[in-house]
Amino acid sequence: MSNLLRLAAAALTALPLAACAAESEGPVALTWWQGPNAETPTQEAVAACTKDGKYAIKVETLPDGSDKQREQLVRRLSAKDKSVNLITMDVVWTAEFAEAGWILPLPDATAKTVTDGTLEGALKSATWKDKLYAAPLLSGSQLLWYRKSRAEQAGIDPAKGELTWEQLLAAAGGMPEGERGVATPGNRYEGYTVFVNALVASAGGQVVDAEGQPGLDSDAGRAAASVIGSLATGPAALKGMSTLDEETMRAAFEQGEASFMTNWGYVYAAAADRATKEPEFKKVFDDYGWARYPRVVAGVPSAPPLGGSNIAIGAGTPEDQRESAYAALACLTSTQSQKGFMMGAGIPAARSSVYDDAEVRAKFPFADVMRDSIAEASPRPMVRKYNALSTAIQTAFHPPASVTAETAAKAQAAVAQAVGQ
Amino acid sequence: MNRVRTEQRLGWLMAGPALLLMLAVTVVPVLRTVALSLERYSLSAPGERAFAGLGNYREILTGQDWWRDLSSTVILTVTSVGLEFVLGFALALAMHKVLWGRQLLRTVVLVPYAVLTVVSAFAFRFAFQPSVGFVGGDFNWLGETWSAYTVIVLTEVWKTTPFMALMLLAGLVTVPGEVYEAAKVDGANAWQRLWRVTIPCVRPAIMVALLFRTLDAFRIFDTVYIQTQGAVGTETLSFLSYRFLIRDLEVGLGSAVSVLLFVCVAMIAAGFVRAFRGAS
Repeated sequence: MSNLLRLAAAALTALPLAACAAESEGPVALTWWQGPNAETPTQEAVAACTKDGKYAIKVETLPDGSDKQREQLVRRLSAKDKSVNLITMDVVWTAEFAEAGWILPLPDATAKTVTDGTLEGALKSATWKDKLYAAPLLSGSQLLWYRKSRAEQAGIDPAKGELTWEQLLAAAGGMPEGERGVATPGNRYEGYTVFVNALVASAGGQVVDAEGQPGLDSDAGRAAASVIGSLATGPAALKGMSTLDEETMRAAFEQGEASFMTNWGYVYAAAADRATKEPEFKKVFDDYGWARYPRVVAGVPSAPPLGGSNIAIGAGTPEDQRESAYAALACLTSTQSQKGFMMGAGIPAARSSVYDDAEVRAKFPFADVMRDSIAEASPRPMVRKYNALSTAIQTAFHPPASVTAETAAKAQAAVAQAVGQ
Repeated sequence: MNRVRTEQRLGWLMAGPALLLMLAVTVVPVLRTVALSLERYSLSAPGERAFAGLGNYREILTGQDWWRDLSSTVILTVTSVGLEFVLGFALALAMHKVLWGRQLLRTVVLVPYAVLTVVSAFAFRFAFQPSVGFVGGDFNWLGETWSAYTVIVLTEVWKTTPFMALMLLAGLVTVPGEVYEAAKVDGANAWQRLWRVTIPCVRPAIMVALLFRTLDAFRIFDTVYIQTQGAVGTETLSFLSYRFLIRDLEVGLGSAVSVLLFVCVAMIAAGFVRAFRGAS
């Protein structure tokens, strides 16, 4: 009996010792919370960064869609989860996460590495109250995608980048039924806020200004609302516009129902991929044209939507792991890594030099348009209650067919309530 | 006397652990929710946490969201439970009367109830998708208010009618055959037998079935989440509480919505119990 007890006691004391030993000897274990859409480049980046064995990175895959990713992350972050070390963040989360103390500001040395050569728009999205909280990994802006042959028939040339929504809708409306669609986001989701924000900014306004004052009840707000209303109730509206998101837009454009769409850069890589698999799609792919996002006001350059993702360090990361976490962050967002993501997943990089790379230029003929578009893009408002703000905008402007110039004033009230609470 | 007391103590001892567990998993969270509902507390601004009294309730009850969502919840509950009751009753009568293949019929009727709500919600969403769904046509069912309601109600009815039928069948089985024979002898036709004999006899079962389904339907969440995300005016009260708690991280406001939802459910239950007492 006493032997048994001694054995049990020995086992109990040995256990924590063994665990300790394993931790101090092996590489520092970090966990990277990453979205599901870039599996291969993610693995390649991890392999390249962990080659020297100083730290190990385990990838936890989050669900698809920014809203769902945020829901999962904030629950862990507010509970101070120690295993949330590297976080891939949507550009609109920075203010909320930084203000709540969920992510750590980057130390000067890391910040310097990260900032070097990174596009201005992308950097702004990672900064909160003059401090850099994250390293831009990918960026991206929406372009106007169109079928070249059909635009020519309709008598417009979007490639110049001076097309207005009014001209676009008029030209598309005159095209034959079944191909005159203009695909824009229409579902009640984050992408719809992106759309509204870009229109307001292109008209020279701001959804919310730097002081947090809503600015929708303005000429710019009304101009944006008129674009949505006239698209949704006109001949260029797709059936089911009120449920359109990036993927359904892409489907409608590939299928031909829509001859124009405003969408991110990944649609090009997706189409190129399909063209190699389906020879009959090759003809459609060769007809792909791209241009700067349409203007709201003639003569005034548009302010295209800005997207992308940054990597930040979770505040629950134990002190002794932070050094490695910063090193991993710098490595994962290096020029080499960004090129890998751009080539592998078709998402535009956040560093300017990547766009000069010969391989990248061969695969992305729209590289220059994209780089300029990112540089002049309109970020979504940086406010702590971004999510409530976004929901208020989506609700007020949805469904698209109900939008009139008066919607702007209604949305203003909802936004004021959401941000003011 | 002594023996009674010993037995009583033994009874408490034996029921004690279960009772404690029940308290821990039901009463404690409810009390905590009530406490949180009196606070101004946002997870994304933990520093600004403060006692707010009834401020959250005032904000909710004077805003538009609560009343809009209450009306959509009531519309969904009344239409889906009403349809389920009519269809469920017909199915229960069929299951009761049929002689051949009774086992098979009962099994087949129960199949939809075995499907997860999430799965059936997706199935209906795909079925009603414009151009690709098998319902066909170009019409965007989930894009307009009335048609989105139709799809949500259809999903609910398809899934939970079996439950209603089963509850009603249990009531039908308890009606003694002699009552029908006596009614037949007195010259009552089938329609009269249904209204004068069957329905009065199964009233308790009807009440229980309606109560369960109403409480369930009033808390509808999954179908709405998957099919519309609360768009086009289909947001329900459960969805509102999810939106505040999980999306906006407003723990105080979200808890207050949950408490109000709880009060609604308690009132529905009390109303049913009163109606049930009055009837019997």
